[in-house]
Amino acid sequence: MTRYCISIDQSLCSGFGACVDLAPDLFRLERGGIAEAVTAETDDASVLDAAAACPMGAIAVREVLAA
Amino acid sequence: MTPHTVLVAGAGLAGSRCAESLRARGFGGRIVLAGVEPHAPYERPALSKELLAGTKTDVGLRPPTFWQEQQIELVLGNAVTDVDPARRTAKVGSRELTWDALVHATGVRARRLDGPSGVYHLRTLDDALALRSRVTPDTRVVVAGAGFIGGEVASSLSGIVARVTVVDPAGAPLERVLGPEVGRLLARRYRDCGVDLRLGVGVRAFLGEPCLEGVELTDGSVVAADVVVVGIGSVGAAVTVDACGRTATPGIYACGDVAAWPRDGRHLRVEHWTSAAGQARSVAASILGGEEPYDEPPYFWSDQFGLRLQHVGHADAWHAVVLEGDESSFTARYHDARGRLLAALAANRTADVASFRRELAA
Repeated sequence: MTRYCISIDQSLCSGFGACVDLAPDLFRLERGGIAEAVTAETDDASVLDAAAACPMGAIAVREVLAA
Repeated sequence: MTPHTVLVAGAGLAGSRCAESLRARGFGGRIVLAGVEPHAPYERPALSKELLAGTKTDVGLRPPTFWQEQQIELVLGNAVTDVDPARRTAKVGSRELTWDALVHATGVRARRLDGPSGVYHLRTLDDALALRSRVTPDTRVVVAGAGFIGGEVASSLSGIVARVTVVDPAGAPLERVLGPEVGRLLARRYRDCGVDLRLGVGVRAFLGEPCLEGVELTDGSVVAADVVVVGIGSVGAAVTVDACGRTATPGIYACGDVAAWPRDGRHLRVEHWTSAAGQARSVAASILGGEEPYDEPPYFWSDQFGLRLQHVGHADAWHAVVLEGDESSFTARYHDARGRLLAALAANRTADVASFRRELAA
């Protein structure tokens, strides 16, 4: 199973919120409207959709080798 | 039936995302991604923002090796022509290709106002690089058009050059899209940032030959200029599609700026990044026999003069605008006569954007 490591560049985030729509278990918006990852690693492939939908390119997803 | 060969005409965001999405969904056939520009797919919104301001030089959407890794045949510098929907053939450059699915993602072009050397437009990476290399701190710049491109160009260049003049026949920047109330706030912001803003006047003539020396305005005044950047909108044919990006011809699809996509009971060409990305996914699903309609409210952002403007929804006309805040940070809500929200703008108000989207999607 593929695992993904999620990182968000919060300086780029515009609070659009598509990541939360597409992967509500992985992302949430902080009080200022800026996205944060709920978890650093996941095997949920919807993280790829969330990263692709970010207009600011603020979400980086890296594949990590599963144990 | 799953196609063998997908030909994507246009290698901008919409075309490249469609190709990527096909692979991500497990499509194992041939994908040819053809673009007229000599560059691999890049981030167009950055051209008038970070690239021109000099804060970013690499605007590629993906690392250079990505396309080969994904087995997406990137054909650059070639247009797709001679499309024959009956035989399902087309030419890519001089080569003839047989396709099972064809995606129109060719975008739009800048509306032009041609003149002597020194007159620039901004649509492609080459346009932006040419303009960027032309300006030095003592270049006198006139921006024709106070729309989004004009505003962003003026903002990006005002960090480099001493004199930027912005000319627009409207009464305020972005007036047509955002209305006079927001326009007045923006006008104040532009002038506070040192822009010589000339409103209610247009460009009558370019002066100087073969090299630009100035611009004559419709009120008879003359502004000395070494460079004029024309930002007066875009032109291009539209391809009408359904909510899944399918044209009336089986096997032919469209996404991105070129696509007239159904929205609120009519077909609209929405030239925004998020629409291009969302429509591309929808088209990829359609090609593989799925049904994933795209129906998100239009969204765009613009960075200018220290403001991040984010606009959600679409309104050609409205009954009332509710403004809150001042020119450094504000929201504007556009309502119809019954008080329904049609569109909303957040300027340096990140925290309001997600709720605007939710309200407009409801």
